[in-house]
Amino acid sequence: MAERAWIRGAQQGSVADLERLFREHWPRAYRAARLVTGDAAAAEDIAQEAFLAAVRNLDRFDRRRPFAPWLHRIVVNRAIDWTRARRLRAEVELGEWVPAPPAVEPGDGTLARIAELPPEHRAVVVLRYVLEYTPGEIAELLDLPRGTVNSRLRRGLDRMKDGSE
Amino acid sequence: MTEAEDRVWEVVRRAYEERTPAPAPRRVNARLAVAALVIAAGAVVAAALSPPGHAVFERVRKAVGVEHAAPALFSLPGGGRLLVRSGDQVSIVEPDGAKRALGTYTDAAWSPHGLYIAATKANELVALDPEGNVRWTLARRDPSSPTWSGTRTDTRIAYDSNGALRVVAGDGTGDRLLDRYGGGDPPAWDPARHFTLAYYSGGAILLREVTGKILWRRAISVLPTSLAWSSDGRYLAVFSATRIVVLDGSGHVRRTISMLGATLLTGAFAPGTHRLAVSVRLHGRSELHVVDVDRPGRGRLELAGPGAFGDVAWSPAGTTLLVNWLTANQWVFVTGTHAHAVGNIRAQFPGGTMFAGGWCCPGS
Repeated sequence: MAERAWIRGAQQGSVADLERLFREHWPRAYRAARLVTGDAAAAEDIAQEAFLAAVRNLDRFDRRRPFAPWLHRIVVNRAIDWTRARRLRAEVELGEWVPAPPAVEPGDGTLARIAELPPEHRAVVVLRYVLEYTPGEIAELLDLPRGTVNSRLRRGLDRMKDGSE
Repeated sequence: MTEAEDRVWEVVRRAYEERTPAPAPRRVNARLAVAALVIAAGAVVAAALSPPGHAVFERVRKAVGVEHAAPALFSLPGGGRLLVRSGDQVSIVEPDGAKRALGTYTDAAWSPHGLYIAATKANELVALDPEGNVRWTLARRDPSSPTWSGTRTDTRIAYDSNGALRVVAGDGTGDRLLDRYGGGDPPAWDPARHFTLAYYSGGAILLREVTGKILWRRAISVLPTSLAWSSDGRYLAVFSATRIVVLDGSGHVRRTISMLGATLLTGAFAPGTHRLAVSVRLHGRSELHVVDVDRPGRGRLELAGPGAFGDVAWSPAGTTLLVNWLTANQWVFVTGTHAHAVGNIRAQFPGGTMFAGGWCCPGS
């Protein structure tokens, strides 16, 4: 993957390089958003917003840094915000906890259990086990203490384990 | 590829093109040129009130005389050969305008005398001759930004591999890591010192020999986007989005150049001089200035127009400046007060162009 060359090309006006960058990163960005929100339409909006932010900041993007963590930080934070907002809306309207969204990818029990976690736990589990970031990288991405990431991971995994029994 | 992916790509592409205003249809180049003239004139109206300002206005007016753009690249004004990347393809443009495709590569650079080309592709650094024949390859993770330096008998290639700066001999032997965190943008070989290069790492510009010895380290507050030496090695220009910091050969700051509110895009020293061409973008239009580093305040506006300028390259003799005017779909060759434009660039080089390895070769 010649990501730095693509970023340089996109900064210098190459639509082809921007498209390469987009096609390379779209699947994981969308997947992360979908796993955290459990909603395909919201995931599309959130991933789109992240790419638009990338375009807006392209001239100032530091090519020495990898693109994916920067993009995923936006995606996951916005996905958490969206999920929290939906929960709050639902609490006001229904006066109770809204049932978790249907399984994100039917037939995959693990992913369905991820969807049942609270959004904060869901985000760290997705970053750790779907996008394969280390706990240290997740702490940096979400501006969280390393210990908080570890505890959310542990609790998230415990809840998933309980749900599977 | 999913429907959602295609749907979002269209939105992202449109946003990108609005950021870089959409290209005008090829048939209305004359109208575009007139619009460019109006905008360029507006840009320099204050300057035009004074006699020196009037001269600038005349230069811009002439430079924007692109309504007579040639429909194709029939020759390369200024001579030499140009290494171009368009889409996935790297090509050489010959002095007579002929193009020779070298193959599918992500990046490329000339050897010091134009005898070979260093190119990169996924996980491979490649040395080619100008016919496109592969001389050697070196498997390395995610290589990019090769730059080649040396004499006719002994050369080195510096390149980025997965964020690290590495150096290999011109025959593909002796590859070694120089700086684990020194990759990213192309390093700049010091023309005044043997196998010594400047690069950015850890918040500083370093001047380092390929043996590993660090000659100096200058902490710098900007985030560099590119580095360029004057051909005598006296000045090193460190470009960033907000300003250019000019260091001398000892690493001391000699000048800082900024243009209020403008985003600095790129720049290059004219061979054999201390004149620095600087491309900037401001409020939807681009400008090309030439700044003499030895004479503060003596900047000259060479070209202005709506939309985006891309790469800038000097001819080997430093007499002609080539600007890739993306929005106009043209290359503009500026020689003194004369400007010559070539249109239909995207048709000739599909996928957008970059002057990957520059215009070959000063002193060859």
